[in-house]
Amino acid sequence: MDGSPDLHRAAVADPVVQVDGLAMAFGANTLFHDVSFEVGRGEVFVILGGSGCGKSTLLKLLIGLHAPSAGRIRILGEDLLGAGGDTRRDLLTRLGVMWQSGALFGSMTLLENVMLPLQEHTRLPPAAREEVARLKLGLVGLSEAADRLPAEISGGMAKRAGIARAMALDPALLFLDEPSAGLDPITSAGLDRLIQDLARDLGTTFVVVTHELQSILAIGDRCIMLDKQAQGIIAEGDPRQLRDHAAHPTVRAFFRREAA
Amino acid sequence: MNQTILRDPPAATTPAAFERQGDLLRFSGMMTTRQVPRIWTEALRAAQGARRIDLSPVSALDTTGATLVLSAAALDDAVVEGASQAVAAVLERARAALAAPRPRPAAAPLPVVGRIGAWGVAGLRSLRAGIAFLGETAAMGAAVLGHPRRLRLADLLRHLDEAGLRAFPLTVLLGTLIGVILAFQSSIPMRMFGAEIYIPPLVGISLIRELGPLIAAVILSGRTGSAYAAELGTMTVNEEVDALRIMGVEPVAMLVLPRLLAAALVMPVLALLMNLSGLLGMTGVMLALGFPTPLVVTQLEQWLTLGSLLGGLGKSVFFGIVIAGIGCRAGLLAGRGPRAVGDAATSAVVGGIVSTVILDGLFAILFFRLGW
Repeated sequence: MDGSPDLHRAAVADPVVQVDGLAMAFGANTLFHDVSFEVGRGEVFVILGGSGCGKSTLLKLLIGLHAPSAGRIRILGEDLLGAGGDTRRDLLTRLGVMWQSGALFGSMTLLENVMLPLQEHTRLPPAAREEVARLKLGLVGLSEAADRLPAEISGGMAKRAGIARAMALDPALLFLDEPSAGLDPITSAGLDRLIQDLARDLGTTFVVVTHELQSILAIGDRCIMLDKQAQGIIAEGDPRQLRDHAAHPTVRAFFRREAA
Repeated sequence: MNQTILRDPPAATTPAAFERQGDLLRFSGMMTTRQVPRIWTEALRAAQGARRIDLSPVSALDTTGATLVLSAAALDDAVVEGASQAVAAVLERARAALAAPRPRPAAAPLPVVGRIGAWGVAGLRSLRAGIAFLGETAAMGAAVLGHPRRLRLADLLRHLDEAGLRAFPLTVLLGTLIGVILAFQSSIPMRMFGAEIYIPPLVGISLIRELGPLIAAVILSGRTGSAYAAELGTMTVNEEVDALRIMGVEPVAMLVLPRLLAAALVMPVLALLMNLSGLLGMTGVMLALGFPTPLVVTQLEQWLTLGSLLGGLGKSVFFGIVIAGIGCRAGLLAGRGPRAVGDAATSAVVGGIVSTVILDGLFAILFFRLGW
């Protein structure tokens, strides 16, 4: 991967995510090493790669669920792993995560799901909390489903509800894990549009893990591509440029085979 | 993405604020989720009667702040003005989101009579499902009886291990403790009559006839009945049971029968273990009270009959079948959603224990009639 022609590293003016020399190994099994990148404020940044390349693990490292074997991660200027107590709590209210399957709380309605972070982290009066939560559901087009339980909605709706809950506190940074996996092309395109709109109008930074080529090309301002063999990043840059000009065979295969 | 967005700057935040000038309400500062809860209630109070809302001093607005602005504007149809480009974009998004149609209020609850009817229908449905399950299990059981090869030996061994062998330590522990407690508690009144010598038959008979099988059944229900319900419930929720059915494999034959058989085989062993460890605990107490072991053994020999022992162990077989059956049924009939598995486990344990006790009562009547 050293000297790969597809690493178009760009200087980022106002980074909200800074990853430096990150490595992850399970026992003797190295998943990746020397992973470094930065995400600028307001960007839609895509982490892509084939199955098993460690992109979901990378996401878990970024949000501080796992500790990396080596390297440093700064989220919104703070060290998430090193931060303790109030700093950590404060930092967690400034980022949101949409989980792959939604991870909605099954015993609560969608409205209650979105209200939970507001209840925990703000001192909004209850009526205001409900109004704010309804607005978040409106943003993702789920106003009418507010009183339904997660078991009663479709997969696409669950993803959108997951985004609404992740946005409950208007975080500066949103992590999305496989937003379009398992969705039909129309629903998936709708979700892509939603992400673009939110990024443009609300200025939210998105870090999206996905392998859906259509999504990558539609939403990605910049992307990195992880590879299992190389155990690290094999490409970085504008996804449309990579599609047209990639030199690395794996990058080409990824963009060509799926595009065909 | 290209515009400058003033959200979450690292330092120097102007707190959100508002002021009222005549018919004008002016918001200023960072109108964000962290800032607006502080001013929410007062700002809405101040917004009464305002005709115009000025956002020009607002440095940042997020959707929570936008909710406040729009709520304030909605009070008296005020006009929002002076918003910068970025602020106006957020406001427009929020306005569209809030305008989306709300869910229609839920249908009014049924009147009392209707609710009783709905409850009755639900009861009958679950009764029908239960009977169907019983019939399916019985039919499958009979079919497998004719072709014992269709029973999966590996599965059976695994269930025997999980329901039986792994329950041994717990059974021995509980049995010993119960023997000790029974002997010790009865020693106090028995001493008043100088009848401590009758503690071994007292504890022995109650253990062998009733308590041994019953407490073993409670252990099986808590450890195994709930596990069956959770395991089969998860499989049902994940559509694995449907997958089996479509593959032409009867879920009852593959999932239920090995568990029923394992529970039926394991229960008398657990009950016997419970009996023995109970007697051991009792013997310990007797030793402490100054009665030598041979005396205790002689007393037991004289009072305990093989019939009592076999009666107790025999009925424990039925306890096992009922507990495993109820556990499997709760699992296979589990609903959808994450609560379903928990509900199935609960109803398996409650149903298992209640029906064990009821069954035990029936056996008591039966044994009485038979003169055992």
